[in-house]
Amino acid sequence: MSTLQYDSTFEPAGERALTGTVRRYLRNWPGVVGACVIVLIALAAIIGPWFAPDPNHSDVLSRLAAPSGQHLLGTDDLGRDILARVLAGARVALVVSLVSSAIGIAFAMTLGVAAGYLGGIVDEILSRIFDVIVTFPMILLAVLIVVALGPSLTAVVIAIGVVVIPRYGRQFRVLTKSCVQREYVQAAIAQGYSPLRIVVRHVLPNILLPIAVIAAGNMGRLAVAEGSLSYLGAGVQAPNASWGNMISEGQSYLQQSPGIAVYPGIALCAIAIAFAFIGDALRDAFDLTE
Amino acid sequence: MHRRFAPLALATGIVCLIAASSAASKTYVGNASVQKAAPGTLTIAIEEDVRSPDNILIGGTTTDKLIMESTVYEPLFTTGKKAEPEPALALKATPSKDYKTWTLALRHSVHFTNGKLFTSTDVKANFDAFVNPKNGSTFVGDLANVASTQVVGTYGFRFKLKKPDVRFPSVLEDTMEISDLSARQSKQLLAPGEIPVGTGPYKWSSRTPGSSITFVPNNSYWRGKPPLQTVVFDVIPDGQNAVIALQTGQVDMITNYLPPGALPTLQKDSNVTIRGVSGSTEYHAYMNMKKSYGNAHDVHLGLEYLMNTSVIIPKLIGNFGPVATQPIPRWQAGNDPKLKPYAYQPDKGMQLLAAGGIPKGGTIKLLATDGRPFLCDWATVLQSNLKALGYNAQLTCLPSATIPNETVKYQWDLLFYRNSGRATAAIDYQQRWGLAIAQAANDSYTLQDTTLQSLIDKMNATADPKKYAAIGAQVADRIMLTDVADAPGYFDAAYFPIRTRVKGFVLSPVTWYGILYNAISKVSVTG
Amino acid sequence: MTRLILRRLVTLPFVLAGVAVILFVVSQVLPADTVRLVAGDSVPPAVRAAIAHNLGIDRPIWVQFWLYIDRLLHGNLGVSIRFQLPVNDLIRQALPASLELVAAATVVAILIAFPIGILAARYRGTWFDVVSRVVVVVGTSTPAFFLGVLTILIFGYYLRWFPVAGRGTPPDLSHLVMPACVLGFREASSTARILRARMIDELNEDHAKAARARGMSGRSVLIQSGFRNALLPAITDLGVSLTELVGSLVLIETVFSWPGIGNLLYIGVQWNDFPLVSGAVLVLVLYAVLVNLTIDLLYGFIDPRLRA
Repeated sequence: MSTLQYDSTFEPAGERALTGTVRRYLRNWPGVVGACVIVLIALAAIIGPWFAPDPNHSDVLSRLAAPSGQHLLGTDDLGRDILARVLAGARVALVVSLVSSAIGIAFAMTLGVAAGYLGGIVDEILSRIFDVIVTFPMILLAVLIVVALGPSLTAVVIAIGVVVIPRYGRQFRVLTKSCVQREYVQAAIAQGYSPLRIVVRHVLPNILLPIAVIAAGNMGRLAVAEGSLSYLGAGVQAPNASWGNMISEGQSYLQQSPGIAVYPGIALCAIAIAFAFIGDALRDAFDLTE
Repeated sequence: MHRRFAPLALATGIVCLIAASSAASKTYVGNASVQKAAPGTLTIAIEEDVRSPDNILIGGTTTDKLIMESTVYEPLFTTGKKAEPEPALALKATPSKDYKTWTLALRHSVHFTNGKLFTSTDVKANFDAFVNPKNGSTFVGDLANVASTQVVGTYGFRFKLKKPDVRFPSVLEDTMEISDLSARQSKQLLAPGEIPVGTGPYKWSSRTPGSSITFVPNNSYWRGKPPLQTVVFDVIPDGQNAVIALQTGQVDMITNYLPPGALPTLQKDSNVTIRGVSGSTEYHAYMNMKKSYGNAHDVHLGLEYLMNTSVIIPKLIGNFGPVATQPIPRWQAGNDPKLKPYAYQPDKGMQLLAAGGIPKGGTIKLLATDGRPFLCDWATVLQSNLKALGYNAQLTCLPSATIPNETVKYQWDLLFYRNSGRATAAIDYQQRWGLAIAQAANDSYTLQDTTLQSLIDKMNATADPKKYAAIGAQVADRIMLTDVADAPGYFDAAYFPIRTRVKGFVLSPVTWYGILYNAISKVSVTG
Repeated sequence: MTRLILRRLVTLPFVLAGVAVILFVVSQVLPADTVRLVAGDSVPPAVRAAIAHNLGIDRPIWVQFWLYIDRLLHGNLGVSIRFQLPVNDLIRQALPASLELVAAATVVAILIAFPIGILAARYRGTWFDVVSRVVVVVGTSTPAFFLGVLTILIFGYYLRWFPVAGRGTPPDLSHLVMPACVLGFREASSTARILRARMIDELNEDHAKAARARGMSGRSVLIQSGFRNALLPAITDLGVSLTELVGSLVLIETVFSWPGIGNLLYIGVQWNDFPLVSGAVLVLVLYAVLVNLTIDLLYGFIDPRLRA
């Protein structure tokens, strides 16, 4: 995860700046494609259940069926509709990427800004804690947390949220540090305003945008993390669908009916790539440099 | 250094640094051809590495027995064609009139691979190590009926039992492997890294833990010089990968963990033949005998009528095994051939459930292990069916590591479980339904029926095969009809896909732990 | 610079201690029944207790913690529950396999990233640039395990180019190709991206423009002004990927049955094998810290301004 710097001095996003940003974003075709893909997946995930069959309904009499009008992507080894399960997996992926990001950012903001603003011993302690957790292999820490909490969607969301805290926390810290150096913040400090007011009024508005851009670009990674956890059996548990556990279940039918594993795999790649494109496009549009 | 070249030097530097640190690993540029298999080498794919190569600790997992008993160790008896004890290190077992004393005659001039002669003192030392609770052998439960043992000359060994057991040698079938304990530092368990020594056809050569084990022939093996030059067990945890490895010639054989979906593909492959044999591992659902319902018997019976096993299972598992009607398979003495699975009668089932305290819309909790194959799948199908009938069916599939903690909470209504089969019906019933086990803390075996236990004791004391089978059938009836404690699913069939270059591979017609025993000393490979 | 390195060295024990404590705490919360995992079903209570005693998991938590820390201080990672072997020995056997995989993946990463990065910068805005950017994004975004599964199906099964599992006995290069390529592809992506971005920046700098004005050929400018100056950030990024690929390593080693640390780690997690998990994680953390240290040192070596 690279650190972004938002070098332009603080200027309120006027209407002209905003339209400029939007125009820059729209010129970036991968960004547009990515946004369309995410919107499509989200729409399908939300309105899908009204049209698709129950993803857990199994009819053993029609197992491993080829795609047909009734089952657009065919059925899996238990006679469940693959499309319905892919859509159910989409809900899981989106929920995890959104909620885990939110959890991660909320905690990272509190800790990172505290470290960056207060400095000294607080900074030293928090930074070391961040260091320790970041050196942990991300997927492993998440697996351990999920196993400890008992595998479920909630556990996955919490685990991934916890894992990203130190990663976002470091960025909040760095950005806060550089922001505090600026004249208008120094001026506010000199005027004796309370730290909370300074942070809320002067620091956060400056650093939230770059973090939001990073987080948007990272959401795909979180969906992939969820997939990896479920693939390893430490995530969403059968019979509930997640792209990861669909791939792992479908793996034993790879030669006979590759669709069981390949469709969710394609969906997972699509969401990951789409978020990455969006992140890149946002970065360019807001003119953030690495 | 000239600054211009510095970055390039840096790039090469990093690569060299890592490359150098891994140089110890001795990478060879091997033959890139995947197809070519080494002459005289048999490579077998296994699902997991041995837990311990120690004969005293073998028992918990199938893989340990499969690997170690087809190579290094031999038991006193192996399993014959009709599941009867077949002589291995012991030639025969003679009972006293009351069947409370059994005297073994041991095979002469068998040597351990370190050259030491195998005698009755080795049997004594191994027995003592097996029953010493400090060693933590899981075989202790099987030997619980043994009161004392005694060495009788160089080649004789005597067991004195607490209760009469007509089929005592069956307890020793493929279970009590013999090693040279006197060669071990501790005279008991193997020290870490110590090499296991037995009398078997192959010797332990090397191991990469978690990855592969290599064996070389024991040229002075008592049955004759083994034909293979090397036997390699390769750990490939994923069954589908193992299938690809087999089809591409990377391995010659897959042990008993073939994924169900791969069977049709392999049947079409001309380089592969599939040997199969009906297994005795039961896949079944335990009824919860500890949970209090309005009327437990009605609930259990009601669930039986809703299982629809005879339709679901064949569709689900295809060729993978026969539908089960009771806890032991059809070919085993003690099976009641008249028992039929409860037919699918949803109305009757729902009525009974309502009478027992679970009305329509009520909650039914299913708990299944995620392990291979089909347990969670079977439960998923059942859950879907129960939902369609209007019940709030809840299913939890957990990895086998975490499931015991859930089972002992006894909140489930059906526990989908897998149990390995055993040599005789009596041992099987004792292990799955007997009181000795049911009373153990922390266990999923919840049936506690004294009548059942006395029937099992009676089986052990009955010599006449017909009477034995008749009492066995009574036990089956008791479990299935009186107690309604079991919802049987199916018995697995063990499939061994092997490449055609492997010759002389013979399956035992019955299986419980695995298949390779007895066979591997005669297996050879061509090319 | 020296201060930075000293600081890293001084904090190293604290980082390791922190990781050790986290591992111990997590291991105590895990719900798995270790004895049953080890012994299977139908074990009488006396044997159950004996096994728990042999594993040392029947003692009070604080005693277990003290013994654990004491062991670590003596460089002893304990005895694996799953393998009944000293974790030090297990790691010693698995480390070469993992390092070999990482080294090979790095070579693959360099072979992919450098040409893509340079050419994409040179032919900025052309179809090559667009395609390579897409490839890069695909590389960073595709889940490693899915890529592994597809690779096995396509190159292992349909094309039958490479063996699909393990490292070979004895180890050979044909087994190394697929896992190294999958891992290297992921590593390459971010490096290629940084290289391209930096080269474009450098080529827009005054000295590059001046060089071109002096009549230097396009290729010379590309190499001398662009590549040389962009190399440092690219290599730094490669170093960062080297520490970040540990997560993918676990998945890739599991998918390809590669007998390395990641494989051991996964087995350890499945078996609730605390000594093995903690040993493997500590080694991986040590690896990450050492790679960072190496990058710092090389940085100082390459850029004398930082040596102060």
